[in-house]
Amino acid sequence: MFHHHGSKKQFPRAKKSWFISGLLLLSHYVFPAKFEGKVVSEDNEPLIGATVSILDLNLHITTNIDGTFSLGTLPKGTHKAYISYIGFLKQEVEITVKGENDVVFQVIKLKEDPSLLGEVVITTSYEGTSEAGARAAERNSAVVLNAVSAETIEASPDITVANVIQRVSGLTVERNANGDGQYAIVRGMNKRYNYTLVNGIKIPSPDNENRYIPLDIFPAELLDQLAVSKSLTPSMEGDAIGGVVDLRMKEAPKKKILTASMSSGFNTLFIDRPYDYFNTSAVDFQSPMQRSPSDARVATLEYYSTENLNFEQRNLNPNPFAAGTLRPNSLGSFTYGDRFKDGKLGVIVAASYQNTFRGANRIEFGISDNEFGSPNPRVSRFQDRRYSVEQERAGIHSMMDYQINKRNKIRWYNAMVHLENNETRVIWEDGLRDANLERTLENNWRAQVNRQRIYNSTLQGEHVMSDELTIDWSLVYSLATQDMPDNSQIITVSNYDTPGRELRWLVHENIVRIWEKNSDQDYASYYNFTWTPTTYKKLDLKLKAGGLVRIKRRENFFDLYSFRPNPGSQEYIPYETNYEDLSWRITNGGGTPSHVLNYQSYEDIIANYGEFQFRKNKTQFIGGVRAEHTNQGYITKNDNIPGGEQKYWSILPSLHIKHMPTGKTNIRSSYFRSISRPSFLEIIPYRRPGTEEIRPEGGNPNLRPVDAHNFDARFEYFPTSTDQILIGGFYKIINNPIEQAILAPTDPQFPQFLPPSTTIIPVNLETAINQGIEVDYMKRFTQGYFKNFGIRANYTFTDSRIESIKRTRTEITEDNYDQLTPLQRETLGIGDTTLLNVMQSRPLQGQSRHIGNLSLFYRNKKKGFNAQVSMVYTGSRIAVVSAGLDTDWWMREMIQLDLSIEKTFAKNFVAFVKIANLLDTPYELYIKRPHMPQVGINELQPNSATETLVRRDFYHRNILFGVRYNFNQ
Amino acid sequence: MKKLTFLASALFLGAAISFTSCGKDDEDNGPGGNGGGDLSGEVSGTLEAGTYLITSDIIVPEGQELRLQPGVILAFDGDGLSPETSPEITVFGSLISEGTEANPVMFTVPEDRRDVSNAFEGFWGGIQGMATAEAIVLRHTIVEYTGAPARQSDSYDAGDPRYAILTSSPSTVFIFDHSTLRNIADDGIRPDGGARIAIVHSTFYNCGETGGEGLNAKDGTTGDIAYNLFYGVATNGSKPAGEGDGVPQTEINTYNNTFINCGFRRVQAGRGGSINYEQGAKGKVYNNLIVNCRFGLRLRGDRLPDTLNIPYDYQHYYANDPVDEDNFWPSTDVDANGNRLTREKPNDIIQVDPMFVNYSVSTNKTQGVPPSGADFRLQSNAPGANAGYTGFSPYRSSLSAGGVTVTVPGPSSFIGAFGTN
Repeated sequence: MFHHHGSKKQFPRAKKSWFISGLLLLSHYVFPAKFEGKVVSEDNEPLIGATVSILDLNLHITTNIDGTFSLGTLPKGTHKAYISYIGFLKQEVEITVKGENDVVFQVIKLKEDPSLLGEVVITTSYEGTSEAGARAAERNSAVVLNAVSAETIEASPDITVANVIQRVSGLTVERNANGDGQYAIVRGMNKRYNYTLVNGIKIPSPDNENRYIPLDIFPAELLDQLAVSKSLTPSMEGDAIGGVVDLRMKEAPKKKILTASMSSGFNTLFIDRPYDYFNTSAVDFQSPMQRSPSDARVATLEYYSTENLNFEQRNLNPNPFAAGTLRPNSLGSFTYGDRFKDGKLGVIVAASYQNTFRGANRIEFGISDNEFGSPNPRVSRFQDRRYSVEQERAGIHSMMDYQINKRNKIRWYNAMVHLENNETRVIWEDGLRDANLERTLENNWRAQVNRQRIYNSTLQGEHVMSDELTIDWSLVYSLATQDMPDNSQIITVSNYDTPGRELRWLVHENIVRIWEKNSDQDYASYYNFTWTPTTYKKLDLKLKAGGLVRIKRRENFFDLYSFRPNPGSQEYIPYETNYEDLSWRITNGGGTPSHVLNYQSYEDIIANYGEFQFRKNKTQFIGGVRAEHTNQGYITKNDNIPGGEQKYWSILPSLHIKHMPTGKTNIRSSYFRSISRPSFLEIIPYRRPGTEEIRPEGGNPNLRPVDAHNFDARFEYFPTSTDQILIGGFYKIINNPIEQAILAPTDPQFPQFLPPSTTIIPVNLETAINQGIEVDYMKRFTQGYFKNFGIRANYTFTDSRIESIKRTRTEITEDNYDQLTPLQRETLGIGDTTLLNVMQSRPLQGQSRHIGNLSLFYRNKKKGFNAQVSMVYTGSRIAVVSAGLDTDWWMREMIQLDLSIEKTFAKNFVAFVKIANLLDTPYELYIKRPHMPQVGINELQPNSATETLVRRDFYHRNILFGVRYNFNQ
Repeated sequence: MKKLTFLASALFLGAAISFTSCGKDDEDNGPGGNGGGDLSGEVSGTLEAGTYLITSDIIVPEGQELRLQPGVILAFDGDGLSPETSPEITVFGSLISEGTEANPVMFTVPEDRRDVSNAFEGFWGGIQGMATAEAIVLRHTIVEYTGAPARQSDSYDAGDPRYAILTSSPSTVFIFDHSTLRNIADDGIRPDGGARIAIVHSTFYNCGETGGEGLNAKDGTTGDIAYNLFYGVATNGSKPAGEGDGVPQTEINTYNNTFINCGFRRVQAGRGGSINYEQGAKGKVYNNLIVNCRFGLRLRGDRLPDTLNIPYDYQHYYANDPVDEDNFWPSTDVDANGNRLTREKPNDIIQVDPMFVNYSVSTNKTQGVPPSGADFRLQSNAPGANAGYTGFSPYRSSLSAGGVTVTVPGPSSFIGAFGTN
């Protein structure tokens, strides 16, 4: 439901009057001419996903769950329609439209293809869900779009949306700590340049600083279809330069459905080593200050729980009932849908629950650059990290649609997704600064609970006001939250201060416990008017206008407490010492209300657009302009950081031309302009001091939104309802790209900054270019030697260039002397060496030159057997941009292989096995330069002479086996 | 030209205080006498001897000056639990504290809490120099019992312990002359955004509970540290560091200092003990006497110092615990060219009793407070009495601010801070 809490803006009052005028117009309503009917087999079984096409009008549709279809609008006259379905002979029918209101109805009986006789089993799926539905979505879309169907997802090894997304051409993922995909990189444009929709509605992020949505929060089973739009029409929100990920959730079916699945499995990581955990139920979700009586300081230890910091271990045991055994993963899902009141009321409820144990084994090095005396990076520490994560992922969604009458329809949609990561991280660190006998070692156990939730409720209406005018609207309330309570560590350090100099592990001098919380609430209304003037019927003219009002309110809470061991030397023996036996001094019992992460953000977006659509001969034109007004602001709880806001208009024109020479071919070309807004934190003029490892960082209130000119072209060929060949290219001119830069005080390049010392600050850089080519190929073999086999493949080549600011030690000459700050000139002269800015051309962060996917599958419907091997290739890319010249951190190219097998049994049941990461592919980051010479490092660095290894992760294999039950009426 | 300024937010009781102009050349103080009372808000002018109770932050505004006469005691009444309840003195202008040997100025807490058992409680917020600060000059001044948590700012994440003395600009003049820093919870002097420093003839002891340096200099700090005693500092006595990019490269000469019992309250092995150059800092290191410290001079950190521009030699090392002998110089350190840094400097004196006038080198190395009556001068026949190197000059021969000029003495022919008796 929609609320107006605390917002000054009101939704247009005009809405009610539209309803009234709509009712008045009903009497004038005229039905457009249509071709409707049903496609059945010779046994009168409905055929779902069959294609009905009228080639000369370039109209295509796939049949619904009950085999029905409705194709319009048809001009008067005689038309030839083709009906095809895999395993059946193609049929041609002739239909005659007599007038404007005419509805031609036919039941079409398809004959089975004798060459495939007896092999085709009717699958139980419905529109959108099916592979054919996804192909239809791609073909019929106004924009450059790629879609993955629920049918494909179900048969794939993927269990989260983020796993699925990497199968789409042009897309790669950024991974989380346990190797799962988390964020989408679209055509080399990293996560900040894309947005995420649920059923066409933009949802807020649970992130505490940023807009992007972690896609691993969504269970894949809730999806009908995953659609990625790579170009934007005026009716779409304009803040995507890479693309838009739309999670199209399951819709109410035509007839009753009931599906359920249960599965279990494990990660092979825990065969080799134990699973670390802590007692999550002992974690206090409220910070000590929130729990304490008003204004009291919480310097006493009673406010801090101890049981959550007693770390323990479990093993994966062949005997699952043995004591200390790691529980297997458990996953389940349930979908129920039906239609009531003569089909007017549709309902669907879907739920998914996943409880999995994941992890990673990682080695990582501390790296610094711009050291004196060498352009090469320096390795300062070595870490062996072990992650153990219990991941609880749950989603529930429901949709109700109600056809009030022929002209008015409403829909109410609710969804809640939940992801809780209970992560235990164990680090063994070697400081690589060894004295003769005393080694600087450190152990670190971290207990981290991260609970993210997104809730969305959308009420939508569609009203046919006349045969020319349709109105649709949405009222949306969304809430995204993140809770990270009592993020705590135990750190122990090596100490040799005993007479015998034996190694003891003592508690570190300073540890912190942090409570973090944030929320993002959206109130939004969308409204669209579609006018289809009958006088321009031949042109198929459609004019659309509409807009959006969104009011966003964000709240961030950050409360940190520092502890010093008291007395200073306390021994800690892992898995033995109880946390309550340690004693501490709390050095800031008042918490951290002034911390920069205690801030509120708001963002009000008002957008309006006008869009036209018409067809001339075989070419469709869609275009128009969108105007978005942004008012993004912030208030902090720190008096030293003043509040502020940014207001601006973005005018975003676009034109999409789709030429359809035959019914199976599209040739698209398009232009659109789009933007990307700064994140919520980065425009706040804060500064945080650095530490030994991390440079100081700050925000930039002068940061401008990124804007881009995007050009696309794509050739599309759809030989059958499931096969396709797509070849596309894109070219993007990106103005004001936002990148991190290292700025010195009074950097002559950025005179507006006055950081007290060198600081990492987001800035707008010079225009970047991003271009590439995408190829998609899908083919199912229906006969011949490879019968029942299929192939899905795609390849994307991307090439981008951005001029980024780097710092490098440079000899001062007459030419660069003016780059020195006045302060530098006091101590430096010609011939001295100092750090100066240089521009370096490099690819965009996250852009791989080559990416590809290859899936080979076997589907024998007669035997109810499916198998699929999927490969993802991600070429090397910059993962982290460094401050120094030529010292960016690159991700090494990787090939990931996944497998899934399913077998139908007892009619309604399917047994399946999914194995992810068959090759146990490592994730590696490295610098394309050798490291500085250092004693005792080379054995840790395998290619010391040419490169510096920064990080290597192994995630091992996830094995899942289960049963699915399908019931369809 | 003098002008009386009335500071509405300042409340003075027992007001034998002269309000004066903020002129930098203002030598004109009211007659010495019965100063004292409460202070809050903006403060400038001259404070006369007496005890001043401070319960909320006091501020020296930009362009103005606060002068403290001998015998001034600023008693900061804080609980050390939160920024709101632990006041500080924030300097946007100039702070000139001129004590005398007999009548030092004190930055401290109320008298009932001045006990060494409270050494690391960190009751109050210290002297916080902001980027506009022209000078912080402390002569014959004692600073103690600081280290309370901070608000979020350029130099602190919220909740961090505040440094006893912070400076934030490479232009700020910081003089610490014949002064004492003791009984503090964390880092002592922190030129975070740089400073022009002269730290001479001063004493640091019992600094840092489980970590913290006597001096921890960052980006853009230049100057000299000479003729000081560092005793019982948790980590390093002196740690020059800085990225060296954009502001003047940190360049600090460390010479003729005495370091005793430093580095033992930091529990982790392998870090911190006397002098540590890190993160692009450079400077000359000569004539330091390093006794019973966890480490000798070290030239490393997570980021390397400017290893090729740190000439060093003529240190005198002694350890009463053979364990620490190995750590006079760690063996695995290499310079930027990959050459191993060695301790075998030709003129170092290794493991010979330095022969203090009155201090036993067998004193427990973990002791934080020097014993009373200790005399760290050298006996005339001490091995370091005539073993120093004098072939270089200070970074600056003198440093002036607020009408005060401090001469930075050059190197001596002896090793350590005090010479012979």
